[in-house]
Amino acid sequence: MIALDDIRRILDAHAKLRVPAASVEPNDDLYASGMTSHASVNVMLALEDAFDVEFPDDLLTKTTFCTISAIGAALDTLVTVDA
Amino acid sequence: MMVDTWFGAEDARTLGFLHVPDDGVARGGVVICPPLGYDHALGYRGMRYFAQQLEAAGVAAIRFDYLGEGDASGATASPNSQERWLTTIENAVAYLHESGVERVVVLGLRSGALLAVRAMDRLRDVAALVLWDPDLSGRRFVRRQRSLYELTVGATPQSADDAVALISLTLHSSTAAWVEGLEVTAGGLSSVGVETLVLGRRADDASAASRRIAQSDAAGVDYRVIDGQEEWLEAPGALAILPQDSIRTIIQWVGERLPVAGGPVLPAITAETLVGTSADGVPIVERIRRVGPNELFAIETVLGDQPTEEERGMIVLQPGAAEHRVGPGRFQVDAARELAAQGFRAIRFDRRITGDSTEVRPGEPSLVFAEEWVDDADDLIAGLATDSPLVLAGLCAGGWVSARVTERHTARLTVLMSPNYFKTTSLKPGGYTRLTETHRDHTPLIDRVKGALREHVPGWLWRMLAGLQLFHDPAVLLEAPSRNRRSTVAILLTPEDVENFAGHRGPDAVARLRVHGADIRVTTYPFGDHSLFGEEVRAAMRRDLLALAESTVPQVAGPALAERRPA
Repeated sequence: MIALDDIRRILDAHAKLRVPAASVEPNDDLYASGMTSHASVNVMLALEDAFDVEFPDDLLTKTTFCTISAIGAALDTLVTVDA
Repeated sequence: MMVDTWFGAEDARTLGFLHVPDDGVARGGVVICPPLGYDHALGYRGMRYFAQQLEAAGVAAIRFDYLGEGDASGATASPNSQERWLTTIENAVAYLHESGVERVVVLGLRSGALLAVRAMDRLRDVAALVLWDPDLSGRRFVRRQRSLYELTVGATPQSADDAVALISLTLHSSTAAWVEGLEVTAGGLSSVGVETLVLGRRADDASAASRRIAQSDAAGVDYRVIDGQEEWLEAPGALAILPQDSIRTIIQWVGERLPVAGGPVLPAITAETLVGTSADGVPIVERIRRVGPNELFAIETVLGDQPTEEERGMIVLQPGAAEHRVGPGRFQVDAARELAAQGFRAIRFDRRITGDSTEVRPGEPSLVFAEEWVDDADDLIAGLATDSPLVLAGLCAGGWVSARVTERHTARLTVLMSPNYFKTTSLKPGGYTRLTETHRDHTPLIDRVKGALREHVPGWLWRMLAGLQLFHDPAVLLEAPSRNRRSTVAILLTPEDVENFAGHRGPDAVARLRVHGADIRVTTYPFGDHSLFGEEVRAAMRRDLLALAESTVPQVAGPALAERRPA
């Protein structure tokens, strides 16, 4: 299972949130915290680099990146599949 | 000073803007290779500001659209787009040299850097290369733009099998494969053979590709980290901040590689060009114009030798938000050329603080939904209109301006694409920025209250409050364009616009105006995005615009098109 703190580290670098990712709860809406579509793509690319995965087209939706939990769940499926 | 001109081969011109120091003498010149797709739209005013600053430093610069994109001639998504992009860079370098500029620096921004590096082996006499916030990998560029498309546009009808849909840019599959094969590497830069400045964004500093360039000892490559790119190129347009520090860094670096003394710049200026032919073989030409007290930049598209008295009508096209003629705004370019083939004179223009009209000033206020833009459209119509019927068409804020200017000019047809602002009271300059900032941070209490009330207010009270402009009632905005009994108003709505329109009682407003004889036509699309980032919805709206113009504005008796065909 992906550690949510690893995701938070990437959010701090790329998501342009108005608050530190450490203060964002797993189910808080990241878009409501200031993440734009551009920033969510930067997050996606950084996650792909960090975890050596590639998000398939069917996961390229706002829902996939709207919360830390959702990102973690998506990554879990990719890491499992790739393993 | 800025010179508007077409340049390149006579049968494949692109639009360029040459910046020349005010004394007409330049120490050298910079060819600014823009990014592809939506990044070009986002970076447009910043690149112009950069060119203005070069001017002030005694350096010339040229900005341009790649062939097949923006205002350049040729179709987008061609299987040989890549060749045409590189040819455009070659032509821009040649244009500067032919204008008398001896020392030429090539600069590429984002994906423009990939193209600039690729073009270097075919360029002659280039003094230096600058890669500004470069996309180092073509594959990553396509993936980023494709992901943005999926996140923003979502599910749409299947594009052609050989098309790859990116955000506001469609590539032929062979071009997409070519782009995916591009890379900027330390080894590649060292073989370019000229001094190179690479400005990488801080967030990418840890990436392997950036590190390899930064840590390489390739001769002549100077790698530096910059800030502020996201605030410029990834912010909503109204909130974008110009990257002043990066601009200063580049200008200083470039200046150190140019002679102190300059030479005269004497450009050849081409104000009119052929951009295609009608189905009957009649030439379609485009003329660069400057109109009104603010010298608004405009392009007029007409059948080659059509006398003004024979034009079927004048159609004024406007983009959304503070955009212009690249990115989603390309819909105007395609529509203008097709409308000209139908006998219309089509005008696309830049309102103040957009595109190539007024100079860029840091901190200039957004004029989205401001009265200044209604005045601009008024000036344009006053400056260019004849007695022929007037057609107005615009996307979102451009549609709002179209509707508002019918308070001053009667239009035969007004087309509102993706309208979402229905008040007739305008915002103050900068008001849209404040609105965007407020809604980015939270939904204000007053809006939450109004949202809750919207469904429950009885009709009579709704109309009264909307009349006071407390609610967005489409009937308020649609009243002027539909007032004349010979006028038609068309409303084109994507799914999110349908929802917004219904939420503001749009169907009821249309029914009320129709009772009074208004000809209002509503078209909805089951796909597409509000901003027309998606090619499919852009094409669908363009087709409907052409059909509406065809059906509502009569043909003018005159020589048949066949008689105008060149011998």
